[in-house]
Amino acid sequence: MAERVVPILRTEELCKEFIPGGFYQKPVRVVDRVNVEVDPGEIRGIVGESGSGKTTLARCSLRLLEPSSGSVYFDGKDLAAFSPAALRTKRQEFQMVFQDPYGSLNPSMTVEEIILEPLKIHRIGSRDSQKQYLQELLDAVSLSEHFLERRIAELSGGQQQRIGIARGLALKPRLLVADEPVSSLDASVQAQILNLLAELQQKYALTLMLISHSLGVVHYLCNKISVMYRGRIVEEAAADSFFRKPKHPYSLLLLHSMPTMNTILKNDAAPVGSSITAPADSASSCSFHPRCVHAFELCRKQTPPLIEVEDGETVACFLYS
Amino acid sequence: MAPVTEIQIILPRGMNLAAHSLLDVQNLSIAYYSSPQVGRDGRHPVHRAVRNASLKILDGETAALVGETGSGKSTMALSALGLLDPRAKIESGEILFEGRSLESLNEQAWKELRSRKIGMAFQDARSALNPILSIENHLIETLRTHQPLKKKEASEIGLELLREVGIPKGQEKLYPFELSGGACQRVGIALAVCNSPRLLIADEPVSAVDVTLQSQILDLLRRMKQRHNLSLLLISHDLPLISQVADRIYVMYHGRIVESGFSREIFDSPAHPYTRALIKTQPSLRHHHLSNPITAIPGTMPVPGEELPGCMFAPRCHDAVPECQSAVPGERELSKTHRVACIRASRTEGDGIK
Repeated sequence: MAERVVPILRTEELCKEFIPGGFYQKPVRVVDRVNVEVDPGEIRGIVGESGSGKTTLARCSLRLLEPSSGSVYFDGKDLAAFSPAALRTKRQEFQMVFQDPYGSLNPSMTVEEIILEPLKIHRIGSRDSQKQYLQELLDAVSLSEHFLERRIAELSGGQQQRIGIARGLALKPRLLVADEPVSSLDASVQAQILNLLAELQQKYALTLMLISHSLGVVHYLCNKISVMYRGRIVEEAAADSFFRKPKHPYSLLLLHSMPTMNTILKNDAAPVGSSITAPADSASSCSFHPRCVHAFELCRKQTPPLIEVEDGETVACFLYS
Repeated sequence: MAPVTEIQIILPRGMNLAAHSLLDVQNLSIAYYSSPQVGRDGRHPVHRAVRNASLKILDGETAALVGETGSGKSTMALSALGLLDPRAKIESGEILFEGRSLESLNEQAWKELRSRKIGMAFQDARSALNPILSIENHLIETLRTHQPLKKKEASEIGLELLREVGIPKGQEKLYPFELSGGACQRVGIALAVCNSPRLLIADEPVSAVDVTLQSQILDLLRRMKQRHNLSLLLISHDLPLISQVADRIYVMYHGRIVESGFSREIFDSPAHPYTRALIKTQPSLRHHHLSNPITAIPGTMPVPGEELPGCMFAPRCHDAVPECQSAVPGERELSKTHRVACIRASRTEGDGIK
């Protein structure tokens, strides 16, 4: 057996619960016992609908949020074991590009200050070498120099996202997590940013974790896909086999929901499953069963475990066990 | 519903099509006036949001207005409802509804029009609802404002409508914050059609809902259209998605309608480079960054207030020639229904996405 490469990121039974304010005091489990392994050089896509826990999983994986339970290993080392100072140094190796570029960049700073801030925090390079490096970063994200003195509000969404990416790259991370990098952008600039991410991934040999609700986006960039539903990973497979033959009923529903040019909706073309359903209790049943056309007795009684059905393909569904 | 549009196609040109049109917007221009402090550098006190745009919705038709942020699509729709921002001014052009001009309507007549003639489902459905009114009371209030109904009667009509849009029994007592985004959208649609309007305008009806629910909401809109004998105007930034339900599509770019035609025509032979780019640059299962990369449109949308002497899309256009920069391209007719504002456009069959 070939020796397994050490995954750059690995989570073990990762859980995150939030306690909502107000009258409801019962904690809500947003990420539920998630195990993911991301290998170096991989472009991992995490898909799911809003509220499925994609962003929370990413934030917990980078320890921007403290997980409620479970562990995160970076290069095989437990991130919880790092002291705050050591974690801060380690952070240089994993960076994040946030969903809303306008909301995540400081409006009172100039573009130059924003991009250089990570270097200043980590005390990397002299003033001169930073300036030089700044130019390199701007070239990498195809922005011209005259943006440097501007502030975020003066830029378009696509330009803001480029700056978010430049900031994410400034520390030469090995793992870059991009949270919905194009969902807030106009259709005509989405492709620019996707192509930029693809180019940067190759140029810097990045490991990329891409969070998106769009299967089109994930298909375009990723070579491995994880599908999340209500906090759990329900399917995980290499991109080509996933798009050739998705297994979990939810993955099928996602694929069927993709708009295609020439499918004029027919009256009977309603996709599987209904929409308005109360969330099922994931502790004692499959959380997808109220929407699933294949659901049977067992689905209402037990949570399906994530099991390997084919080489490297895992599914959490009783149809495959 | 489809026969109506088909009859329109075979009507000889020159016949009075206006007799069949429900909403007819002719050469409309709308400008926003901002105070000097708002204009960043003081050079652009006026932002022209809609430029000489014409749009026609026939009785029983589903039309879609497609464009990116800031292209003027919402401004155009709001002008038909008399809901424009006070800073916006209609500079020229005319809006006709059922053949009558809306220019001189008084406030009372606008109110009548907005409820009994044109219904509107707003983009952010949850914030369009009143957080301290239950779903049921929303409907009762809206119905009784415009119709002489007893509370009980209004409640009955409202409940029936809620069942119709797919809100299960018992949920009518809930408040907006207790409902999912998709359910709020359904309530918004029920409210928009409760006073039996003839035209329903839905602003980005599916952009805030999850992909798995998008086709359900579109399907609901289509069912409501059939059952209530409505015409639809859908506003969207998502051309592929909206093409699933629209009969006719208007593509807007920086205030201008750059291409219009039947969905089929637009998809089988998109004539404007912008339309073509919109269709081809959407990441889909045909694209992959290694094997089939997308050729992205360079540059960005012009900023609000930016004026160019020629075609607004020319700076980003792969096909642009020097003439594109000098004069605004006029509309050309590619077929009786398919129009494009581009001097380079040619009808290239089979250039669309099959």
